[in-house]
Amino acid sequence: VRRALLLMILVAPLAGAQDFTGTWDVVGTDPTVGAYAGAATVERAATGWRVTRLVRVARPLPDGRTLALSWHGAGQTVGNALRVDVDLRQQDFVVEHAGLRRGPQHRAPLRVSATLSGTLTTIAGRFVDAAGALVADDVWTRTGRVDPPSPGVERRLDPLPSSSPRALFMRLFQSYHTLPALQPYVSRPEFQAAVHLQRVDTTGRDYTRAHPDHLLVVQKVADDIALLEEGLRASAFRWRLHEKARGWGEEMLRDHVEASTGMLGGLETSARRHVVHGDSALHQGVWVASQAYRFQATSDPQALANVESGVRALLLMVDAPGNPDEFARAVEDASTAPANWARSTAIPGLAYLQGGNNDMLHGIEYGFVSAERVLPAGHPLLAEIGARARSLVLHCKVAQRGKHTLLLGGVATRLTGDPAVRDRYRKVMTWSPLERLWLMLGEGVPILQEVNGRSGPHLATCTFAGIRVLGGARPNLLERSWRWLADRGLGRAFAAARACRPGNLAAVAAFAGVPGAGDVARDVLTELPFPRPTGTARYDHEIDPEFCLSPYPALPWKLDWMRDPGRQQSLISYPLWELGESDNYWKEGPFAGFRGGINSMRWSSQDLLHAYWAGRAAGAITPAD
Amino acid sequence: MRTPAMILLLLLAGCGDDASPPLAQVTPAVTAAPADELDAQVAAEARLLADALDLDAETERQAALAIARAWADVLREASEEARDPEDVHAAIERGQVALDLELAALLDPERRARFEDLGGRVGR
Repeated sequence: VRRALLLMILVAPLAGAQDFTGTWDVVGTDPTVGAYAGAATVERAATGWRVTRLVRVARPLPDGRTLALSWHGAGQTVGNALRVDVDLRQQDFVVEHAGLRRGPQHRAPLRVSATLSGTLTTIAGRFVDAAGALVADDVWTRTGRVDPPSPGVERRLDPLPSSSPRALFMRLFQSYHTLPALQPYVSRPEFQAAVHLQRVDTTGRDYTRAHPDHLLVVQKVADDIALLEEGLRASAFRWRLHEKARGWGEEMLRDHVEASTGMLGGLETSARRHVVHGDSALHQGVWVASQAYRFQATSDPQALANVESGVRALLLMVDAPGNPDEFARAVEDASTAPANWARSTAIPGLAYLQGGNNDMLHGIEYGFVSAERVLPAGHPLLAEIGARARSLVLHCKVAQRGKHTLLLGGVATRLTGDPAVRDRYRKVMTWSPLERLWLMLGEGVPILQEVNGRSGPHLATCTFAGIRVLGGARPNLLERSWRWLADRGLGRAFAAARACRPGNLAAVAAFAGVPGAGDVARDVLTELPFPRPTGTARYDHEIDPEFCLSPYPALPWKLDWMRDPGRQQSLISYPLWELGESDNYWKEGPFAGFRGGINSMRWSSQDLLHAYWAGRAAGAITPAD
Repeated sequence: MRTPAMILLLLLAGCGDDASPPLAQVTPAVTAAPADELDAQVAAEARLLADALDLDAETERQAALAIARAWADVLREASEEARDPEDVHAAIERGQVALDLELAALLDPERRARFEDLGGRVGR
């Protein structure tokens, strides 16, 4: 009888312990990462329990950060114990890194389970996988706290409004749908529906902002690939926007602006070698514009110095060929330039990349327009800018087309007063009804967005930004009418492309007061990594269970979709930190580039700085953001 | 119509006939622009010309029609060629020349000279 009474006394608390609700402190060990501590929360669910757990690993990561592991699982009462089942993802978007490679065995999540049992206040158990391998050995102690659930996966797919005719396109691309690469997708309902999607992923954003020295891994097996993936995410979320801008800006001066020419370049990080990109004229103009916006927002003399240095490279690109019909795509000191670049006879010691074209001229004119806006009256560079703008308008065929004459001619007219260029500018400004219609309707940005890529929209953004300040400090009535049309066009372009998160366009649209533009600019800048990713990895979103190829090839007017696998694109546009490195993020995506690599090349950050400082100058981003 | 893609894009941009362009049918499909807003801008461009050249109401109306037709042609040609910005702008440039010639034919010699001074191309 005494034994029975004793047993009843011992068991009585356990019978009541079946309510696991509450917050539990967690300590334990993981055979891979070692000791950890944290907390778990348990809430009642429709069936059983909703369990979340967040622990911090005691051993710091090589960079000093703390590894934090979070998961959500499902609990069931088994006898007097709590059984917890957790599904951990074994793959996300990186397929190869650090000697690891994702394969078919990683498609299904890894199920780990534990049965936690003990007393009312302390329960313990070992998490094992289906094969019985130990994953974590936990001891949970009840607390009086009420913690919020730990971070979970927060992803959604936003549908994009259609700007392409589905029925017609599906018929047109019937042959494309027979390609072997398309076969896994053709029968899927989302492929047939052809509704393109934007993935918005805020997993761990708030936690990482609150704990910038933690590397959070959510609902994943924390191997080296997962750490890389989550490191990319953290590089986007851990910094405030002004911290990123400061970092990108410091890198520009330290690693990317070549002192003798002012020319931007990438940094090959393994050999620390400066590499000038073939699209540098465009990048250079965007860099100058970014610093002009920065000067406008802050009056920082360093910004003005950057404008001056950047403009010098633009001038060199106009001068290098020694022929007013041409301009260069890039310049570099002849002693370091690639052997196949032309050696300038006009400027001894300088080499240049031939082939200045429409895209590159967008950069030169944008840089000139931007510099004119901020350089003080009488600055010697203004006369030089005016002379080069005049020369381009009068002699260079590509500068006599489109809106180039308008932008360059305006600069040249104001800075040189030359009657020949003034006449050309006046005529183009006065009578260009079709160009004005094209501008008002969005410079082509809204058209066929599912297939038209982002290079064109990036150039259009430069055009909008230049025209909305047409006429400089004292615009006349006609120049103001162009500005008005540019703002209308910005509104139309942004509204059409908004769902696909066009961050740079949004920052410029914020100047025009376009509703929602500032919010998108801030959100997208939040998704951009600092530092830009380098290393060795290969990513391929095809391993994403939600991935589906688009039924439409990219840029179909190239007419090579049957033979160029590079035209295959995703139905889903992925967050920017998942797209590796780019010399210009704003030309990437939205649906192309779902696979690629990260290597030792780190490109300059004029693209990111442009969006940030345009947003700051427009008042859409505050200094505290 | 040289390739399937071009056929498609032609269809997108309109039918390619030479009738007065039904902007309400043509442009929304390509640019998602409300036709009334587009028509208003076309009228504004014609008004700009009419003010500069002292055009009568009928000539201004014809100018607006010509601009609208030219715009539809540009869309068709641009779509036919490509979405590459250089090609679009080339189409606009060609459309502008054709428009100018059409407008010049509406004008008396004195206004034609003023139109040329304004930036219009009055002869090939």
